[in-house]
Amino acid sequence: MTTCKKFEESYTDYVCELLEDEKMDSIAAHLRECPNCAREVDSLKAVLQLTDEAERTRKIPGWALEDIEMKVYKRLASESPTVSPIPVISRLFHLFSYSLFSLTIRSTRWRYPWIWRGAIVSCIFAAVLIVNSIFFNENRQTNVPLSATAIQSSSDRVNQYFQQEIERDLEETFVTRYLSNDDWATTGNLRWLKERAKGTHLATFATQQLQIARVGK
Amino acid sequence: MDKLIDDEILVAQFQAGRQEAFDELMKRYKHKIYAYLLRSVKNYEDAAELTSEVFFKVYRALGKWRPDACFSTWLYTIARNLSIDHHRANSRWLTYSLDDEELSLNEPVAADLASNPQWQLEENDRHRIICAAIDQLSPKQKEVFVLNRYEGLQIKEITEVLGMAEGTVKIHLHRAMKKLQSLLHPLWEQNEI
Repeated sequence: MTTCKKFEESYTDYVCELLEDEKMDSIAAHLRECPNCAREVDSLKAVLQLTDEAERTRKIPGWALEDIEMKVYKRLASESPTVSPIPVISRLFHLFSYSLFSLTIRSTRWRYPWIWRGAIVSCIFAAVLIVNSIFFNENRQTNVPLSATAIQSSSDRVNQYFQQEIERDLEETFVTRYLSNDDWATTGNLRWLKERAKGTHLATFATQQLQIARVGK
Repeated sequence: MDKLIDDEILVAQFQAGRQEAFDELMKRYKHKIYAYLLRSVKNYEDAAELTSEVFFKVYRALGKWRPDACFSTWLYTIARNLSIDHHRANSRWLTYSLDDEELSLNEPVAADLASNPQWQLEENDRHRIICAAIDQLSPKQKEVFVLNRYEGLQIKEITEVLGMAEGTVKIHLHRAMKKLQSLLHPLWEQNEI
C-alpha cells in the first residue's frame, strides 16, 4: 500500500513515458505485483489511446492548406521594400558637411588663418563623411541581399504559384472533358483560363486548346 | 529537398539567401501549425488565415533568428501568440461550446469511413465526445496536453512555448490526464465510446 502511494502520482508520467529509465522500470515492476495499480495504469493508457485515435481520425480538408504559400508570398510581395532610407540626421549631416566644405573652398584667402582652420575642420568633416557613407553603405549592404532577394523572390513565387494554379485548372479541364465529354463546359473553362493566363505562355496554350476543342465540336 | 535536413540547417540556408529552404520549412510545418491553430480557433478559414500569418512573421524574422531554441518551438510560440491575439480580438474565450458543436458536426473524419454510414455516425459521436472532453480541460491543461500529445513536443519544449517551469507543465499534464480519465473512463467501461 505504501508502495502504491509512492508511485501513484507518477502514473501519468509513466504512461506518457516522461520518466527516467530507472523509475520506469521500478514502476513496471510494481505494476506486475499490484493489480489495482495495473488497472489504474491501464485506464490511463486507454484514455490516451482514445484521445490519440480521435486525433488520427481528424482530417484537415485539402483546400484549407492549398493557398497558404500563395498567401504568404503575396503578402510579402505587396510589402514595401525593406531597404531602409538614409536616416534624416545622416542626411542633414551630409548636407552640412558638404556646404561647409564648399564654402571653405570658395572663400579661401591665404592670409586669414581662420580660413585655414575652417578648411582643416571641413577636411575632417569630409573624412568623417566618407567614413560615414562607407559605414551606412556597409550597413545597408548587410540588409540588402536578404531583403532584396526576398522581395524579388516573393514576386517570383507568386507568379510561380499562379502558373501552377492555372496548370492545375487546365489539367482539371482536360480530365473533366475526358470523363464527361462536355465540349461546352471545356470551351467555357478554356476561355476563362485564357483570360486568367493573359500574358503568359499558358494563354497561348489555352488558345490552341480552345481552337482544337472548337474544331472537335 | 532532403527530408532529413534539420530545420536549423534549412534556416541557415535561408539566411544565406536560399529561398527554397523557407518553402521546405513551410511545407514541413504548415499542416501541423494549421491543425494546432484549428484546435484553438475552431474555424477553418481563421486557422488558414492565422497559419499564413505565422509563416509571414517567420519569414520576416527568420533572417535574424538564432538557434538558441528549437525552430519548431519558436514556430509554436508565434502560433500561440497569434491565436491569443485572435481570441482577444474576437472576445470569445468562453464561447467554445457553441463553436465546438458546429465544428464537430461538420468536421470531416477519415475518408475510408464514408463507405459505412453507420460506422461514420458512430465515429463522429465518438470523436465529438472525446473532443468535448478535451475542451473541458482548463486552458492551460488543454494547451499542455495538446502540445505534448498531438504536437509531439517534449516537456522542455513546452516550457519554452508556454513560458512555464517544467514542474508546472508536468502538473498541468497530470491534471489533464486525470480529468480526461474521470470523463472518458466511465464511458469507455460501458462501451459507449
